[in-house]
Amino acid sequence: MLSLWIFRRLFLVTLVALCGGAFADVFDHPVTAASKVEMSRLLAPMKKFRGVEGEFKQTKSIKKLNRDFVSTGTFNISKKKGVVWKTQKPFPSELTVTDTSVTERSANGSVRTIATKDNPVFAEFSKVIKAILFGDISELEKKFKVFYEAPGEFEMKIGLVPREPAMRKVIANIVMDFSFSLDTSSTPFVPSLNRVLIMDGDGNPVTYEFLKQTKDIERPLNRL
Amino acid sequence: MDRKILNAKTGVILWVVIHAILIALGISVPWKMDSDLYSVLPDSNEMKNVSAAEKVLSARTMRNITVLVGHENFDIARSAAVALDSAFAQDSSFDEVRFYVDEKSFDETHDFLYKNRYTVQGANVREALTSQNLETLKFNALTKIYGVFSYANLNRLEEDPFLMGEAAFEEFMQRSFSMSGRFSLREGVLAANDSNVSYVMWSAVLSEKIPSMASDDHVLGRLDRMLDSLKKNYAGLVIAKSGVPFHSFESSREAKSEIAVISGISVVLILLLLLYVFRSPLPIFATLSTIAIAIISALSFTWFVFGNIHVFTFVFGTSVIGVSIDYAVHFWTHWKERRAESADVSGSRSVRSLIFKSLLLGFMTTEFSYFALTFAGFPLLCQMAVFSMVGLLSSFLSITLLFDAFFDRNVISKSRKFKKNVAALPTQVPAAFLKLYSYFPKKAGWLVAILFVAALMPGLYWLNIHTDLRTLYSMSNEMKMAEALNAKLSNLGISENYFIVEGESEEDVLQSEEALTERLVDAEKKSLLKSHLATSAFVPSARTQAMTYEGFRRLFFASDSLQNITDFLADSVNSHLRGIGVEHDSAFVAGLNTGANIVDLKSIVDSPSIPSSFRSMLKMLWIGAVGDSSSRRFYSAVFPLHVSKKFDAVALAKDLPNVYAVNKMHNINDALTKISHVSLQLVACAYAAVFLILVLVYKFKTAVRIIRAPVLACLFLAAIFGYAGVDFNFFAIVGVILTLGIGIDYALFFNEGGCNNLTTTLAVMLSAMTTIISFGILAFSSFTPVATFGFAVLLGIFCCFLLSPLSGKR
Repeated sequence: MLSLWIFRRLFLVTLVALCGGAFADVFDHPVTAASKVEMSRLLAPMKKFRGVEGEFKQTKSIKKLNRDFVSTGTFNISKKKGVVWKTQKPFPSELTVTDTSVTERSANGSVRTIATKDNPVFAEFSKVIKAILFGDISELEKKFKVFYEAPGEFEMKIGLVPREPAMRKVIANIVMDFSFSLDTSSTPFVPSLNRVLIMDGDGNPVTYEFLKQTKDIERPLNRL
Repeated sequence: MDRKILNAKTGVILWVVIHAILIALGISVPWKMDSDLYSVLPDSNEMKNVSAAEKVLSARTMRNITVLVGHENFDIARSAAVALDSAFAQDSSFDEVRFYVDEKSFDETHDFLYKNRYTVQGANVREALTSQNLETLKFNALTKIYGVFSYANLNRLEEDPFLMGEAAFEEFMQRSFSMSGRFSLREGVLAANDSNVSYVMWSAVLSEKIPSMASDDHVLGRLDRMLDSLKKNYAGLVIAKSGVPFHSFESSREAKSEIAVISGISVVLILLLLLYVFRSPLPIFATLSTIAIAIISALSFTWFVFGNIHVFTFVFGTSVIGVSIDYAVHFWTHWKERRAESADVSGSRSVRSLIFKSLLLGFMTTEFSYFALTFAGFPLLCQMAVFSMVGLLSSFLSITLLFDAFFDRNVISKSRKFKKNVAALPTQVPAAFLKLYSYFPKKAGWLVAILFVAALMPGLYWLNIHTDLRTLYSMSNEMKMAEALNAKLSNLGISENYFIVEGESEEDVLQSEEALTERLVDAEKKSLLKSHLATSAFVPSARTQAMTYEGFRRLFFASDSLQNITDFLADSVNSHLRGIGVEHDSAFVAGLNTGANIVDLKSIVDSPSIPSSFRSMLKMLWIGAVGDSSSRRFYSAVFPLHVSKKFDAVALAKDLPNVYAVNKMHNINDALTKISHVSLQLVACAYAAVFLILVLVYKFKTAVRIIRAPVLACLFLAAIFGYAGVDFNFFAIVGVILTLGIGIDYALFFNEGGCNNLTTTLAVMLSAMTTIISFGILAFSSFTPVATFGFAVLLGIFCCFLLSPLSGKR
């Protein structure tokens, strides 16, 4: 159960970092051999990213309380250096995930670091990050049942349902919403992760919106 | 023992009665063979109750087994593990089988900690309460609410606006985290990866009623067969077994085959030797019968006294063959000599009366040595001593009572009739042996002895009396690799050092634990260890729980001018509530006013109502009540994890009442080394007593001459260990003790028979040869302790045999 807890947190980090869009009907479209090829082709440009940075908006909706908790901040995902999430409002906090550790800085400045050494959960987390960053559907399929839908020419939705029943009690499903834009480089369509919706086991959605994204940026994490 | 005192009929009746009693006692108790490697070890702690608590803890952990089922393809590894689980999940030989991860456990633990959020908290929250630091609690809650990827349950925010239930759950998970190692949940089971192989964990707790002795229908035997069949069905399957029961099972299986081989070779070689010497089946048959009866009697009585018999005792016990044969050999050599004599034997002394004095003295001295060992305070040694004493007694009685009745009288009555059919004893070898000693100048004996001792001095100087159990057990490569893999993947970091905490009550133990864990937390800050496991970390003492509850009330409620806690929330608390949108504080206040919800360890320790995750932790850490009604106390274990080399458990526990630092391996080694010294001292005392008896019987000079050979032989064997730079361990010392016990017989026989008596020389040669064969073969045992023991006796007896002719009158 421990693993579940850690994995739950870290996997969310991974997915939210890179995904967007929440559309329940994507789960009507399990990935097929043909759609997998198409999905892989569309995600292929992501393999060339060295990093992504931008702003995010997180909305936690608690149905029972009929209340939303909204926070905003910045994110930076670097292929080499890891992932940094800085929540700025309403209370500052920071989450840094590297290959070797996960560090959480709370609102009052206290820091807690967990080393990833010899920890399979973090190793898995790292794998999942890379899988999404590089559009590696095969790796994602190990942990999730994958669903895919392309409702429009410049849109793509990927749905993920954890294979692990125990994990489904925490994360019922995830929907990532991509859009595509023309790039000035040789790649004609660059996928952009706009929104991620994570539905928890109690049916409370957590939505992440990604704004002002800049891709292919390689910047030291401590400068963020 | 003269026939006037004890006639043949009385002798036989006496023999039958004694043996019937010995065997009947053994039959009266259930028979149990023990092959547990640790069960016969000495107490590793001087405090009786603490030692008993350690044993309870060890007994519990030593029944755990783990099987890692691995394959490059996880699905195959999982399928094989599922098949394994299906075969054994309902097996009554296991108290518990763990395979599928209980999905409910997560929610159960979460709910339990939420329910007890104002009493069961970790050190960080308690510290904030002690310092009345509301800000820390507030910001931690805000981080959980607004921080990214925090999946704290916010459904209960009205009731728990500071998310104290989540804080307790987080603390619990961190503790649990340190126990999961590299395993993680995968498709409902625990799995880990290593070198591109996915391992699925299957573990179980062996039932207490299952013997550790290997047998065809033993559950571990069935498990082995199942694993073999899985390997055949799933190509490329890798199996790694771990746990003490596997080692005990493997050891006993090897011991069984070794006993068969060692006994078989001993018996065959000895038979051939006896056949060569006696050229008649009668002495051989009678001797073998004597040995068989001696072993059965020894086995029965030992069983009766100890309730079980350890396989090591049984292996050592095969040496009874060598010891008990000596007496028979002496009887039969003299018997044969008498039969071969052409002179009229009527009216002459019986064989028994000829050898009785030396036999009795030899018997007494050997028994004295064994008897001394029973005071050494080491169960295994005590068992071996009792086994050997009874075996020897049986042999002695068989020869002096039975042989006398059935064979000795025949010598006198029929010697003339059968005289022509009796071949002469083969005395060429003893004659040649004695001839060598005839070149030895009579007055040079003491000079040679002095030179001999001088040559041994450097070896004795370098002698290191020390026992290290780790060097005595060598596991197979397969087992070694499996244990290493398991340790690597589980990465629990439990060190040899841990703590036993004692108390008059459960609450006492928890309070003492908390004093200890405060020091451990300080040590963690100094990087002396990474973390620790303690019962109080999961269930704090009632005192701490009450203080935690009071701390919350003081922090959350306003105080009036008299510092009394009011029923109104403090302004800063109200401000926090408003900040997170909690408009009504009634649910929060009601939760704080329900009273301290003290979690009572006593009531939950075996309760099925507590979360299974808590139960499994408590099973590992909580020892419980130990001792009878008058000395009953409570115990728990505290394990420091991933300790550094600088971690000093003894210093950490210093001045903490009822906290004992334990290093079981170190303590056992110390205990064995101490027992080695005590054993040597006891035997020295026994030998001093034997010497006094010999002085009374033979006078001082002769007594010294008799005792010289075994004593010098022991110095020789000790010096060889010193020269070789090998630790003179407990088992080598047992060899010394046996050399002293057996070796003196040779000197006595030579003294009684005279150093030029061919029959005596032949008898001693035969005795020595049979002893050397039976013990020498032990030197080839795969069990290092047995091999060390066999080698020590081999050296000692060989040297004693060479020196013993110098004990006779020249």
